[in-house]
Amino acid sequence: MKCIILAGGFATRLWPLTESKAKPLLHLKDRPLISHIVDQIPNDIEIIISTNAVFEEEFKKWSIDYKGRNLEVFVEDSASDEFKKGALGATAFVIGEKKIEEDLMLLAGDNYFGFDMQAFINKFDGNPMLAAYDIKDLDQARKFGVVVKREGRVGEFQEKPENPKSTLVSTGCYIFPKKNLIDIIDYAKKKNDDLGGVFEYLMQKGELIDVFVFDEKWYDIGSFDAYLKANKELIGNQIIEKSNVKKEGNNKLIGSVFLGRNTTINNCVLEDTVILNDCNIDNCVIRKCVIDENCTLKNLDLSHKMIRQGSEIEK
Amino acid sequence: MKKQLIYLKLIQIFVDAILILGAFALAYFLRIGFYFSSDFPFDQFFIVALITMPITLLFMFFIRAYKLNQQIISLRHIQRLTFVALENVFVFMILYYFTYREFFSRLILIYAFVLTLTLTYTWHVLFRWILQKASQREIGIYRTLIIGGNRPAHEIIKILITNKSHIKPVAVIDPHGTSKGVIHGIPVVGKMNVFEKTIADHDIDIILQADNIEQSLNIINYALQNNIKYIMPPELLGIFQGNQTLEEVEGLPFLKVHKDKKWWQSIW
Repeated sequence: MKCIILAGGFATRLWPLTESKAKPLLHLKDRPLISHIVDQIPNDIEIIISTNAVFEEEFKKWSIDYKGRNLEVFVEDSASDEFKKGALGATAFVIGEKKIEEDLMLLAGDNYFGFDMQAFINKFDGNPMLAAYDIKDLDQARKFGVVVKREGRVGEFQEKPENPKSTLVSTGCYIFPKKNLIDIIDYAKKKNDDLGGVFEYLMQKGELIDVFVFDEKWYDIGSFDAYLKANKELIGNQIIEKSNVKKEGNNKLIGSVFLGRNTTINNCVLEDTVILNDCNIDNCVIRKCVIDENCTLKNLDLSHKMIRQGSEIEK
Repeated sequence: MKKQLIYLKLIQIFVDAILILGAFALAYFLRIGFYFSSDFPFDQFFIVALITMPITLLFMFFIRAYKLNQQIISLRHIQRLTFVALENVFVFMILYYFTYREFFSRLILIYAFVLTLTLTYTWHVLFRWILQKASQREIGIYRTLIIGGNRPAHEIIKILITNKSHIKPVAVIDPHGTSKGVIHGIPVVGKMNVFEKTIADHDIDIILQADNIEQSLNIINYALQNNIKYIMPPELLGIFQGNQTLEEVEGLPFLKVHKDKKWWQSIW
């Protein structure tokens, strides 16, 4: 089995955090989001990270930490949002280019999966399979592909429906047997960005779709709120400090706080906030924010903000 | 301010100076007759007019009559110039009396007032047309990036184009994405991920943010770091109603929103 991690999106909704890095490289808890995914995948599975030319260098830099791992950064040729291939198009492209002729695990690079990936693989028995999560809210379910489960399998699949029949939603985690890879390529020619649609297509062809239901943590990092929530819940009620953090004066750290390498805070109140490497925060009250690398903030009250890399803001 | 606009503004001020002097001269001849009177010598009258003129131009500056964004065809601008014309004759009157200890015809002052107001306003309207023509020829324009594809952004772009403003939209970034490729002829270049590239590609002078308030802090910071002017409409702060003015309270700037604008608030 091979694994493709889709990491080619431009993540415009998370600008400016994604100005110079892809969404899967966003910091989550204590390391990049994609590291959480890769660390879960069994070592004997070859991983192909499918990304675009813009983020190639960033991914290659990140992959240095996985030198011993069978991992490759595969670059599609799109250089902007308008020319991107789409999730399914990118998958079909990798299958074709890498001549993949074995079972394929396909993962969305902007998802965090809390379940045991080995258990997911163990459940695979030759049918296409997806991992589904009970979101427990019909309103929320409208934003996802909805799975109606019958006799342990997918009985019906609704892609972002107006009236969901279930609260069980498809996550960005799938396994396709090698016999169905051609279906991905065929369907991608019609709809290159409709990952969920491929399951409807397979069902129409009479294929049985298995479902792996889990209730561990799952986050789809599609918006700033989702990103904040994921960080808050994964960090928990603790303070994570990387090396060479300096805390001067009287600081109050509340809830989940991450302080990156070489960061200095002085007389600050920080609540549910992520401050990345090399920042200097002086006399600030910062709540529910993500401060990107190399920022200098002074005398500010910030709430619910993403701060661009290298910002120098002083009141 | 752009170099070409500075030159244009200098021409405007120079012509104003000539018109103010011309108004005094014309007032003299209208009252006295078209000859040089020995009872009320023109040279002594004109010397005082010459001293008055720079003071009047200074007043023009004080009341921001030369500000690029002023609405020329408006009651407000007529009020401004009325105030300037009044100041002009008052200063002239005082200077003349203190210099020569003589009284003269009050009708000259009335003529000078009416002529100063008429001539300067007509010139300012004409100058507005010149600015619009310059804007059409891309002379002294501020290349503007519009952030937003929402309704306020559409309206702003339409107004700027219709009025041939020197604030010229050249590109639109829609943070939420839009199916439209152009808005009133201005290309939608993409989402926020092309922000820096767009600023470099289009040589942007002004960022006009009409949408997506949560990004304003980063956009303002970028603008300040790169010497780009940043402007935004009050709608961005949720202010859709009332009249808005900037006020200072103990030196701190505040945006004041008031329900009704009283007539006297139009004077200043």
